[in-house]
Amino acid sequence: MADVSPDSDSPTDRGQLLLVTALALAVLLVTVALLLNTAIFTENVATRETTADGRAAIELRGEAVTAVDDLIETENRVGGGDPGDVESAVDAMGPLVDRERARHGTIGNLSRNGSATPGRLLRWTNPDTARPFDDPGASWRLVDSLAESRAFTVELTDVRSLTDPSGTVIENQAFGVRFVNDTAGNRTLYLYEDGGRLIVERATETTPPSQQCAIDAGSGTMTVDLSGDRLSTTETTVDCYRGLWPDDSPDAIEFRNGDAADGTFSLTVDDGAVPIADPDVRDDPAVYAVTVDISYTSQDLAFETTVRVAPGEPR
Amino acid sequence: MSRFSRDRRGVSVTVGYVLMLAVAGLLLGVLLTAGGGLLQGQSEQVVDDELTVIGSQLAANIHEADRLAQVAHDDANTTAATGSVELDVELPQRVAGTGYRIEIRNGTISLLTSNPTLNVTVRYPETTVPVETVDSGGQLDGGDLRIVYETPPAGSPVEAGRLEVRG
Repeated sequence: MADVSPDSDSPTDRGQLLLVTALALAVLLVTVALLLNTAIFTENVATRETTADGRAAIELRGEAVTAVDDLIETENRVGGGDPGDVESAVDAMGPLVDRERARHGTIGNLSRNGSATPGRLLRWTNPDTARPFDDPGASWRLVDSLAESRAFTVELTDVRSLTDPSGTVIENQAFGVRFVNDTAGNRTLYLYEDGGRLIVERATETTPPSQQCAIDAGSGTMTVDLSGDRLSTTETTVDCYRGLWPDDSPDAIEFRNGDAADGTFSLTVDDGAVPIADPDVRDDPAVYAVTVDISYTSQDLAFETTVRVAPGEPR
Repeated sequence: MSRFSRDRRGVSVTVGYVLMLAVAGLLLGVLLTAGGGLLQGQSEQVVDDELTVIGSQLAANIHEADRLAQVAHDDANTTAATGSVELDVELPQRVAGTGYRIEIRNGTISLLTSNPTLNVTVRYPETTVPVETVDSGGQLDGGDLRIVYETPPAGSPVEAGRLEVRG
């Protein structure tokens, strides 16, 4: 028998092959384990939310704009439309936003950018009392020299019914709102009731009236949000998809065939506009817009924007 | 001589030993070769998977930055002020022990490694604001990235802005 005992002449030569191979296999197995670890980690990462919190930034912007929107609306409705009030309120809102965002571990900032823009709010003298649109005349110019206008709504309690009318009949008998533009031409929206539906048709100087929008009239007040391109009743709302407000900013706004409708209206215009001087039309000071800086900073996102807040401004 | 011819021990042990070594060597060689091949294949698969995930992460962040850039652009057009977005994207520097490079071009993110040689492409949804990389040679080293946007002058179309991806 050969001598394979440990105390032979070359005891350390034995098993080298096995040892080296075992080491190589060990390295292989460790590498496989590392690869497996990487694969598991990859699967884990693949199912994680890994994008920056852009949604929170957009939410902050939206909330800030809504808050300033409400501030302007409230000031115009009950506060006398003083731009100084809105400026003070926006200044006071900044620290509140900062504190609220700090609770979420992020930094939010809201600050005023310049002064608030003054404007005028036009309504009936008794703004909540519906009346015919025929005073001071069947057709009359509400405001002239317009640079900017927003939040133009007409609330109708009664509107003339026309059954399947022709273009000429509509132009002569239906209640209309005309957007006068000295360069791009006039655009008139005619409103009438037909078969229990409020119909809105649009005409230009070169094209006859064509239907833009309609809504079931219902039994209550019908609201035509001209700058928001919407019709609504107490039951429903219809989006008119930019079919109401003209593409080019109007220079003046007129009511046509005012004896064909009863209701109220509300329009906010820039400070340089010239409203009609009539005892039935009320012209109050208002805040037209305010510009605010909004910033959002988190661990992986810095977002800064400057927003001009003018509620009800046409899109 | 007769004693040597009768003694079979040395011959059988030596031959047996050599045979044993040969068979063991062959066996272990095959084992190592097969193991190495398996390792190579698995390694490529893992790198491919991880690069795909990294590409998807980057695509999602580009989309997010584009959304914010559009909001900032719309706001800036009505105020003539400047808006900005800075978005950090945390990505690993190495995948399965190997470095990689990132190339963003024409709505496609390419992730390239040299060992193993792989080119993984991930498409991202078309952005409103064009994307470009700020680097030399059109490629970025793998690792953390920053997507930067600044609104163009007021009145410019949204396409005039750039989502710059920086290494």
